[in-house]
Amino acid sequence: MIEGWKDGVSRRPLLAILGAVVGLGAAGGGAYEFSKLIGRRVSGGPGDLLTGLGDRESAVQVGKAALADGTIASANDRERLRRRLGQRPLSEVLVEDAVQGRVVETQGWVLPLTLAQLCALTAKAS
Amino acid sequence: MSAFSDARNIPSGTILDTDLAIIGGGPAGITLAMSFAGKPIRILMLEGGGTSFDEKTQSLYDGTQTGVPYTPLNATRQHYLGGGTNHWGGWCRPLDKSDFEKRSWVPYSGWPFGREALDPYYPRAAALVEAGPFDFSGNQQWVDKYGAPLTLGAGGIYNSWFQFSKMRGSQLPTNFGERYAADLKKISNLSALLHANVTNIALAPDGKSVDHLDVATLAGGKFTVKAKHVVLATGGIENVRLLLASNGVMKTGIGNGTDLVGRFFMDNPIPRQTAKLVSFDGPIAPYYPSNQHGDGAIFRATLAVSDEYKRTSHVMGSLTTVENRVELDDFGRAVVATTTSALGMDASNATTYALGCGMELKPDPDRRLTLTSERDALGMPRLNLHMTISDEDFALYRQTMKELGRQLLATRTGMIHLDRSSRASWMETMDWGNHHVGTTRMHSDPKRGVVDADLKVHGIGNLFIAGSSTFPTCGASNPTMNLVALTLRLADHLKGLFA
Repeated sequence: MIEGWKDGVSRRPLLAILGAVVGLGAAGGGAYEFSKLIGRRVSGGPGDLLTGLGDRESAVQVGKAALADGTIASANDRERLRRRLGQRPLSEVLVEDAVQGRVVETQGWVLPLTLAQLCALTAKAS
Repeated sequence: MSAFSDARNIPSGTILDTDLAIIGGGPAGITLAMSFAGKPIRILMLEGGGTSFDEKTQSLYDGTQTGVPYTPLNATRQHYLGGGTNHWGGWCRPLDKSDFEKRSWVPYSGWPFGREALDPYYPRAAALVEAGPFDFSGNQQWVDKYGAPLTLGAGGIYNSWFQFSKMRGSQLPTNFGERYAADLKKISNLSALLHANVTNIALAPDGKSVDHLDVATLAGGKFTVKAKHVVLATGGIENVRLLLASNGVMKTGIGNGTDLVGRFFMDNPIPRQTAKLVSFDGPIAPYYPSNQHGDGAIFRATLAVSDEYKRTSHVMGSLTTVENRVELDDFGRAVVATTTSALGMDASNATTYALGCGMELKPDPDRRLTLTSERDALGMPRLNLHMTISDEDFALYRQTMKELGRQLLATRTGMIHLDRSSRASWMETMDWGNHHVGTTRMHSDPKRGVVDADLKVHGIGNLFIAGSSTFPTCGASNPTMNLVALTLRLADHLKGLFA
């Protein structure tokens, strides 16, 4: 389980960061859909981390599965994710995960660890 | 004697004399017989069946089974000229170099020689099974014609290739009995006896050599064969039955002083729908899901485990095949949409395939054939097969599939769903290759093997065994071409003995 996101981060700085990250996502060539993020983003937390996830409903499904089957351990948190992502495109981080063997299995699907963590965050935020 | 004779016409009490007696007319026996064409050596091949299927003859293979479900013993091999090639699929691929190695994580592994001992024989073996030119590393012409293989990048899984024995229209692959019957009949120094079932290998009183063979027919005839050398080539199941039943001198059976005959039975499990592969970029090259033709070969790509990955990750060999296109469920579509989006890929053309595989089992001494109190129509004791497959066998293959998934993600080529997790789910789609391996295993040490590196039964001066029953480990490659190569090597050794 991913813990701590509800009480560790204020919303205002995140919303400010969100605008910048949207630009990064587009520049990174991802399939990010700004309108979906704005339209479906729920209160508070990890929005800046989730900009590369595309369709939020799909990510929520994946995240719920990752949480339900224990793929994501409680030790994973947003700050660690934020450090890993840095300013890099999400795709680059995910490829790096795979290259370095950081993959997990969620309901049979082999996923980059960071992706599973981000999806779990999305699910928690939904 | 003419090249093909019916043993039912031989009067009881007859004694036939020959230089080399070959027991069994399957791919090993026929390969061996043809290897001696024109040599000044009299060859007698004894085949228990005729030239076509016969129910009464086939029932000689009836047996019992315990353990996990397996093909009935009377169906896993056909009892007539051609043996295993009467119902094989034609899949050909050499064993990997690591298959011959002593692997610390594989108990009882290690052949007494490396693959280099078989390399000189593979091209001839490929010709005999009527595969194309000996090229299993990926012919550039195949790629040029059909498109590039999957990009897998660095890792434990790589693109490899099967070749197939030639198909003739709707006919099955090369059936050694049918294909080589005319060639066998032309060999002047060969006599082939059909319907001749060897029921006993009679040793000399000192137990150090074969004195004679007792042969029986279902018509009631009984006669004797005396030979300077004998090669047992009736397959990984029947070899065991004859050795254990031949207990007139050695009470536990021939070659069974250390209780090895019949143990370590191996086959390649072929579970279906083991996983799904999603190709982000659309359909993959057609040589993955089906056989293709090119440059004189019939070929198909497979996803193989590298020798290095086996050594470092301690997995077993496996050959994963792409089967058919499938549709994903809603959750699967959500996963693919999320992953492709996050990887910056377009999923609009993503295509999903079911995967199958051929696995290599870890050797298990308790996976074994034993004699029962039941008797067949010739008075021979029948067999029981106790079949096993361990959870570790499944887990190691699953680990291999996860590695494939990792590589596909690392190259942004695609992704993997592992369909099987519980033992019950693996067994739901379990099929078997019907490859009978390991029951008369080869080892230089008489305490650890039934035959030595020259396939001679330890302690018996003139008895050899041909076929995949001598393989100490089975690898993931189908055995036929490999056993033919090993038989060609045996032929060279025997020629030296007769020189």
